[in-house]
Amino acid sequence: MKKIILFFVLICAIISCVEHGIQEDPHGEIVELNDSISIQYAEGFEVEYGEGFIKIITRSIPGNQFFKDSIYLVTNSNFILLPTLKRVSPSDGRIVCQSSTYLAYLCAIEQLDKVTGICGIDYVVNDATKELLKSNGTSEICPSDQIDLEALFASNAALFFTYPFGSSTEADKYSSKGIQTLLIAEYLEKTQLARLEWIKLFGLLTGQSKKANDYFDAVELAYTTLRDETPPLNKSFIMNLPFQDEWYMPSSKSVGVELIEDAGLTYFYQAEDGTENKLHAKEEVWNDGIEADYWIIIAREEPGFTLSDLCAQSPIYQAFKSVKDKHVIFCNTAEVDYFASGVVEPHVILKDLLFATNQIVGHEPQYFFLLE
Amino acid sequence: MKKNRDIIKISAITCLILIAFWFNLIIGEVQIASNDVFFILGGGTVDNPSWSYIVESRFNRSIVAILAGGALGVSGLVLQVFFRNPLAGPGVLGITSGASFGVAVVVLGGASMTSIGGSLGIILAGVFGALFVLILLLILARFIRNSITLLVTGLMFGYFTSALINILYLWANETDTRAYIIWGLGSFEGLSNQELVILLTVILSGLGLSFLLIKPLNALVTGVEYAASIGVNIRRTRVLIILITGVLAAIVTVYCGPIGFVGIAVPQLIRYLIKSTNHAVILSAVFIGGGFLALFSDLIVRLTSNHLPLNTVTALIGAPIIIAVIINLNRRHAEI
Repeated sequence: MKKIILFFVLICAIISCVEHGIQEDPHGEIVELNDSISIQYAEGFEVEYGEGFIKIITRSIPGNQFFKDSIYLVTNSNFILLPTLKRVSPSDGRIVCQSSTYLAYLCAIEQLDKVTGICGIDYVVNDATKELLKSNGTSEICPSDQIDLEALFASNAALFFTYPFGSSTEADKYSSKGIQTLLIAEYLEKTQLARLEWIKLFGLLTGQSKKANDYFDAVELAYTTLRDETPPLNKSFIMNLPFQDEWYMPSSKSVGVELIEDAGLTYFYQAEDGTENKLHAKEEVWNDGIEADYWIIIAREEPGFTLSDLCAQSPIYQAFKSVKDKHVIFCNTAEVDYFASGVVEPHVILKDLLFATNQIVGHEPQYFFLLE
Repeated sequence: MKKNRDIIKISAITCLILIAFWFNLIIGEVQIASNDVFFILGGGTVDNPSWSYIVESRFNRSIVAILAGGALGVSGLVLQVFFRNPLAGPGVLGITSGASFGVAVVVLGGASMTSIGGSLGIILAGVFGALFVLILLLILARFIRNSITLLVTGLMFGYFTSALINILYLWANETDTRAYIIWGLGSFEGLSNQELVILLTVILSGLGLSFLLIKPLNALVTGVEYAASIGVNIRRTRVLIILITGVLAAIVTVYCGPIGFVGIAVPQLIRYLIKSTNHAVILSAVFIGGGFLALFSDLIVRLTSNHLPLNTVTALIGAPIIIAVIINLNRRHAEI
């Protein structure tokens, strides 16, 4: 009997510890967050508001490899969390990013100065961003594609935004050195606006919720207005360039394809499901390229790449309908920051596409332009 | 009698090449009827303009496969006789690695594989790299009598050049790195008509020159001393061997990537099939055999919708043959 009582008491003690993981510290300070966020589109993160803390949860989207992560944004340090729970304060400030896409979000809410380290600083396409990072003393933490632990610890970061795969998921390794991690998978979102909405998460964690909300609302309005005013063109399009014998084509549900479809075009490979890139044989796309009205290419080429340069890559391109009609729309990722800045400027991309397909006039293209 | 059998076998391999060639023309992601393929090859045009390009692409690819496989086979045969080692070949001796390093210097240095300047630079760099390794090997061969030790030295060259290429990656951008890695998987695809003409000219020249080696090769089978005693000019033979094997291996490596196993496996297979000791017969048979193996490997690549890299297929076919040679070597001294 004594053993049973002892066991019961022990269980109660353990449960009470868990339930009261958040305890009050009478000497703590209170940080006022100037706005709360609500999520309309994004599926990959959610926010729970509590007394003195905000719990931010990031998770995989159904259909992808499962992961779940969370962090407590402590707004009132009277509350003390269990050591096993990840916590960060908006005033902590110092951030390390594993992807340059996160920089685009932080840049949009003017928080780049908080970035103390990044993976692949030399691969940041936006020159202004790169210069700013270098002038801020932002350090490279992945000099050889892998995370350099010494460089990461030396960056003195409080929060490390990472991919949900690879060694970056080993949160314990970093938290023991005082760096909290948060898995970010904005790329899994199914729509452009859902991807953009992650700006609210970055706003929340940097204490700039209002700025993030305002930015999102403005872009959302611009984007949806353009989209809703665009009638279907009944013109088909294919995408990208081959690599040797293989031609990776986004599937019809990918964010990039949906954005182009919002410009009134119809994807040639509509029947293919999924969000990931699909491998097509080059011959197959050659055969389809003869019929497709538009050819939208997102690729890294030499500056000043022309239609002649494209045709020099393969003589069959001259037989493509899009090439004959000069309907090749190109985004040179060597010159524009499509994969990062493009995520927070979908309205600009949509405008570029509408301009390239002669649906609007008087626009200065930034990402996509017609190849001459 | 033996001669007749050899002729029948060589004719059979030639027929297999023609069959594989035809399959390569009609099999693909886009179904084109045989009569349309004939019509296009005859210079006619069909309703779908893309088909002409597709058939031309398949035709070029098949020609490249035959030339590349044949060139690697001949290169391997000459090296095996000269080094008196059945495991010698452009891949094992580090010649392919030398050519790869030359290509890496140019490609990872930022030159496009499709630009005219870049293409010429890549060819020169590849040939220079291959010749450099081969000359180095020939110098070392004077001091290293054991043929296995020489092979290990060749393998070390391969590791050394791989290490140098890894250093080059540090300065290369993403696009160049990707281009180099994809090139390294090997492919007979994507050569333009001009590039095909260059490949054809160089390989046929190399093949023509290799026929000058027939008499020396016949003599070298019995040893360098014996060959010299019957009047073979060893110095001239050595220069020809360097030139022919280096250029053949380099041009194939430059245009198709470092293709493994063909150079070693084909001469062994042909020696097993063909009983003649005359290198005029063996050389021709090796060229045809190499062409067939390469074309057959490419057919498998195409049947898997290009999901299998060429080097994977050549390894699956070539590695068992080489293992069989090693087992045979263990049992008795393999005859060259």
